[in-house]
Amino acid sequence: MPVADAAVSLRGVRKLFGRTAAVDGIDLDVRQGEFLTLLGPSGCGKTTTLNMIAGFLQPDAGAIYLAGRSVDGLPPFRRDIGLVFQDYALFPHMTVAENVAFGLRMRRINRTEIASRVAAALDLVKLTGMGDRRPLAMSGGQRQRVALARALVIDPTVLLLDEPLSNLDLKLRETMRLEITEVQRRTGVTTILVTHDQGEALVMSDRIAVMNGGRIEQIATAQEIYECPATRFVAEFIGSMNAIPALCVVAEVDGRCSVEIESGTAIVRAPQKVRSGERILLAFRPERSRVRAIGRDGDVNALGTVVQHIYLGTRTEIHVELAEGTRCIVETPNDRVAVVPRVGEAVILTVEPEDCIAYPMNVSGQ
Amino acid sequence: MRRRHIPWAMLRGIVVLLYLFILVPIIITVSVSFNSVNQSKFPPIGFSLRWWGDALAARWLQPLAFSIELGLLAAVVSMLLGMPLAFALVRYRFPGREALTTLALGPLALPALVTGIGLLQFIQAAGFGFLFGFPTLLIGHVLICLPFSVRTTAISLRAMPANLELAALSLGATPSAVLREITLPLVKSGVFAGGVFAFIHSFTDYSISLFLARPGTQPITITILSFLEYGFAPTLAAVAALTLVVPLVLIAVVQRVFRIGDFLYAENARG
Repeated sequence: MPVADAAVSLRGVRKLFGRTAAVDGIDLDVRQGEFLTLLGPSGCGKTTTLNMIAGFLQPDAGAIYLAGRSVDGLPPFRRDIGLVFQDYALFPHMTVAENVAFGLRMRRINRTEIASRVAAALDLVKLTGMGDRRPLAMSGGQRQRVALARALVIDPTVLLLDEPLSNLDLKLRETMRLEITEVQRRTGVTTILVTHDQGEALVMSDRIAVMNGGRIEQIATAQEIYECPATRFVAEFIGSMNAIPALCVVAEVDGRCSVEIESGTAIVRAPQKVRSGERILLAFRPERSRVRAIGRDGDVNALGTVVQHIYLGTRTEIHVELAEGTRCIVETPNDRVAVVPRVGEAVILTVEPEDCIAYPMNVSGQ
Repeated sequence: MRRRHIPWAMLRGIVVLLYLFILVPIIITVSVSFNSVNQSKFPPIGFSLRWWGDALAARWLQPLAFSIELGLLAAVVSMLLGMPLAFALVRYRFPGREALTTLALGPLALPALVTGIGLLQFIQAAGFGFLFGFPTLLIGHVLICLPFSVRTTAISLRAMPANLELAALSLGATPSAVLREITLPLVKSGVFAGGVFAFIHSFTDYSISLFLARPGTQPITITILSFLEYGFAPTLAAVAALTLVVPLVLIAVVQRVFRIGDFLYAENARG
């Protein structure tokens, strides 16, 4: 995507802390009105990336563009950015309305316009009439909304959300996910969310950029990320994934390879480069695998023993130890049709080849 | 009495003892000032207000007013100096930071007597003799008051979430607007508390004034001290009670505005 068409663009952005690269060469384009999430474990460089977009940190290499314009050397207060912090960072000596009005006041907008825009912003986050309250007298969820209103009222080029839900309890977090998403859709503001919570990322984002070790491993929609993880890191970071060792017999040119496990061979996807004759990992999701009494032709079949059941209400986890020693998890829906084998019973674990992905043995996959 | 009540009873006893320890000398001094004879008897003999009449004469009221003036000025100057100093010490890491901390907080640990002698000799040796009198006295008092305003301002600064300033920046506030709109309003109670402590410290000081006061620039403590050479008269008791009123009233007023204890007992930060 050309820089001019994107709301936010990063080109080869690097940031060093001492001698280690916190952000190690990132290219990223966020479309106008898009909700993009930077997802990754702590220390993956997502917050550093956010701070560089906000202007709190300067990149050591590369360039950042906001609305097609390079922001190199531009201080944070000239970037037109809406930022929601993890701890909300509301000004305790101001009322809710004064908090929300702050950005407008700094832009020297006249009083009547400020009043009407503040009221509209409070309506947007369902805090109508709460303008006279003090932030410290509010609940976590309400503070969150004030922070959101304060960031949105200035009509920012991009809204940056830095782990905004991690201080809320579980129930509230789930409601706020949907509410923030709804506000974002309604205002159409380009948004970048930073989180380590995959559930948050899956629910809220148009696209997710999974980061690891200062790099982006994959940028795609939630569904693509889950169904076709580009790297083993992504596969294991999002959801749970079974991985059994196998041998790559022939590496095909079209991103597939044929693999051999004890029960035979199958042709599966291989998003990362694997070589013929290389030991690989065959990965598949628990809910895509089954346990049966006899194997199925065309499936990947593996002999194993049931070692444990875990009943989870809507589904049951069956833990299977394969003959060669790997443990796998098979998920069965609790629909009364599924038969759950007893612990200690010998079973065949089966997966359809389309649901399998081959990854190189080492995580980085380089 | 059940066993678990015993520790509480002991605690209560200790608290009562502590209060007696603090209050009894004050009560004795105040009651002595009501003696009807020219003797510092306790319990007082008879009752009269004549010593209070003496205490309210110009020879006492003038140094009292001078002490208040000096205290106010010392408080204001140490607030103005302490604020940027606390900022530098809390926010920045620079070579010599440790030295500056020691320098700013040092007078707290050093006996004021030592500071007084040092200052006296320094001013003489450096040829600033023309400063003797009020200017030197003010410098000395600022020196011993500075640790209070630096500490309380530093406590407020550390207690302030760092994100507040970043949030203001992201909302379009220039660094000077951030200082004016966010930082200063949030540390002002710390600065003010430092000023209150500084005033009280200056007002009750005598050891540094002992070296730096000159005739005409005598704080009340020095006046009391020189009068003591002729013995303790009930007048002195009345004057002493009078000097007690100033800081007590100040603390009572200030305590209504904000919790001064937060700054007395906080080691690093509130909350």
